[in-house]
Amino acid sequence: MTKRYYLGNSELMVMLALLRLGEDAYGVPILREIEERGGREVALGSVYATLGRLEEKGLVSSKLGEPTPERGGRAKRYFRVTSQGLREVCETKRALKKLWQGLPQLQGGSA
Amino acid sequence: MRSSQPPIVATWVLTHFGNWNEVLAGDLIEEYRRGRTVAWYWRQVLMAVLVGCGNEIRTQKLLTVRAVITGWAALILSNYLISLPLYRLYSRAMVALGLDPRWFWWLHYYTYPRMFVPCVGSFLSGWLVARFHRTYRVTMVTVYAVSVLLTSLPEIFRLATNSFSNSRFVPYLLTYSLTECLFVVSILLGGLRNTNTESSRSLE
Repeated sequence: MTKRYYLGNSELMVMLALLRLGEDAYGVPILREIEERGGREVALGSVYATLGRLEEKGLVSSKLGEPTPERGGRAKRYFRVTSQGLREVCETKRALKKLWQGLPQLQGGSA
Repeated sequence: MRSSQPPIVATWVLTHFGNWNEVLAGDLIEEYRRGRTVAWYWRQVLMAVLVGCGNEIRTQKLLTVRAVITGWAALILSNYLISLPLYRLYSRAMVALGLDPRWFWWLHYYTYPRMFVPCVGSFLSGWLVARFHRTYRVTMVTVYAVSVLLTSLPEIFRLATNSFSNSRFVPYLLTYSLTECLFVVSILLGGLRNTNTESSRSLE
């Protein structure tokens, strides 16, 4: 059996946030998306660390935007999911779904 | 009323010690201006610095070990080559002026400069660590500085315990703690000066 890479919890959350945000995916919206949908406060530094890791693996790509005054003259960095990244998300979903199925403890939504 | 300007010190810490510094600082400023609190801003900055350093230590284990060894070797060497001769010179100057630097040196104004002598060596050791680890210098210098700080903790703890039972030890505790702080600060100053010019690597 070949050993393959699956996305971790934080990586998956970031990837899903990127897919939801589309073209407007930079630090602040990604953070808000994870906080609102994930229901927990996250550190922006952790989000960027995850994004850096994903970029190294070729699962996301990034480009620098224009500096804006409301950010103290600092530029935004926009991220998007690559086709390889999209494949990984689907693969991880498939694997999780398989693990999920047939668990009596999770039937009926009581768990 | 809350200022629209985020805490300057926190932003300085982030841009000098963190990764993704400029982009991340921009995001934090944007969020702060939308109503986040000062505590939130500080929490995010400290987390960013910790996560950034932690990541680099995890991915560069050997470099981290090398940085600590380099720093300690430079520190020990500078102690023999710089600090001890400077101490001797200083003591001779004190004796020549009719002052006795050996007598309760921590209590006399004219002997306070002695506390700064080891800082020369620690400044140089910090600089050397930064010089040999340019790409990850913030993390490497910080790890080295923390390793120095950790070695002084047992003595600080001992003096603190003694100070509780006998107030005679309080000046010892204060002087030792102050010297160690100066020591660590000079390592950071030596290693992290002009950090801004190189630390924006994540923007490249």
